[in-house]
Amino acid sequence: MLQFYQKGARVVGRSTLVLVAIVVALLVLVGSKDVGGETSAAPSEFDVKAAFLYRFASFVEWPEATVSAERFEIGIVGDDPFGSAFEPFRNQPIEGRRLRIVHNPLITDSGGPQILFVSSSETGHFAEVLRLVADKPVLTVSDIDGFAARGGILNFVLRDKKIRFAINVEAADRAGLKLSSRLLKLAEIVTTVSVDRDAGGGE
Amino acid sequence: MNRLRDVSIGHKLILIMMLTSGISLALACAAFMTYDWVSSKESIAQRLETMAEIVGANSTAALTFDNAADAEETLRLLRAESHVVAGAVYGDDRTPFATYHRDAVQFVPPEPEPGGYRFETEHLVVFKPIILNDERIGTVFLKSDLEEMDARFRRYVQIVVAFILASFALTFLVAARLRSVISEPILKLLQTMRRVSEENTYSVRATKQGEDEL
Repeated sequence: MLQFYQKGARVVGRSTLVLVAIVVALLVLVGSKDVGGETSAAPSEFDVKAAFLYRFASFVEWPEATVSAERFEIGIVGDDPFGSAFEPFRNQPIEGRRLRIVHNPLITDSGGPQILFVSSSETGHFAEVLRLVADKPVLTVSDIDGFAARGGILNFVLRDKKIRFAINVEAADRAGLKLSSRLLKLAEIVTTVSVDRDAGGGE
Repeated sequence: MNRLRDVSIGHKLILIMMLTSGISLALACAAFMTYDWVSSKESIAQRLETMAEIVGANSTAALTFDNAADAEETLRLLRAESHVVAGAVYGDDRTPFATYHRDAVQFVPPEPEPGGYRFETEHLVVFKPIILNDERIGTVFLKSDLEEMDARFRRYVQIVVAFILASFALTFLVAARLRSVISEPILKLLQTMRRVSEENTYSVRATKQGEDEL
């Protein structure tokens, strides 16, 4: 065996060095997988939408009376396209409250989710949902085309391959929600296009 | 120093008075200028830090919803402050998200630092974290030139020099008047002494000018 160096009475043999080299090589291989930070897969469309839904909370003010101290609810109406997209936010409190995802939530006069996402499976029959929550403090969001124009508050839209959003400010006002100017300046502003006229005319 | 000895009493007095007043003025000016330099450095840094914080607060949505164009628009508002040379907003991955340069050129912003300010030879550099919901989501970088401080310093030097010259002139005038208070009795005494030794008379009397040693 070759003696490489001596430290006191210890002697490093060749076989030990080979072992060390193998371990180092393995570590480099494992380490290089994580180079570049987090997961190498680009976030999917719904990862981004889930993140946006979670973050809208920081730019919207719900009326004080409706703020529950324990939970912040995001409700999903229709098929759930998110899967595990909300996982990263499970343990991150929004506005000091724990996040809770509810499927097809109950909307009562007194409560309901703070954010309601209407899934594209409801295209063509979401008007009823909107009517139900129109003047309740619920932030209605969807990626259905024309959702905001029909009275929804926030509409995901795709612009230059980026997920942006359109906001119907009247609808937000009607729901009693205050939207931060910083959010509004990023959005396309949309007004309600009335499809069926009711007796009193539009307001 | 020998040269000084040969100068007349009157001139010596003038010189002494001008020197003392000049020194005290110079020292006072130096003290004030140093204080002003230090405090204006601090206030410039603070102002830039405030600007960075405002830019950051207005960029939270742009960062959160990945809208670089909006962040750039916010940065471009810095045009209003002509001393700001460059600015940048970084995301939480520490890569540049939006940049701004006074001369509208592309530039590579430096690696973001945790926070605080730093004076370089010709610039002031500030880094400020962008916080949303108690979480750091990015960083603001601002760089300004020191032209304001330099201009202020130059003005100060001009004022100080003007003042010192003016005070020299004034001191000279005052000194010219006052030296006779000292020098006249001495010179009169000298005159009397000369007359005594020349004419060998002791009947010449020196007239008293005041109550001091003479």
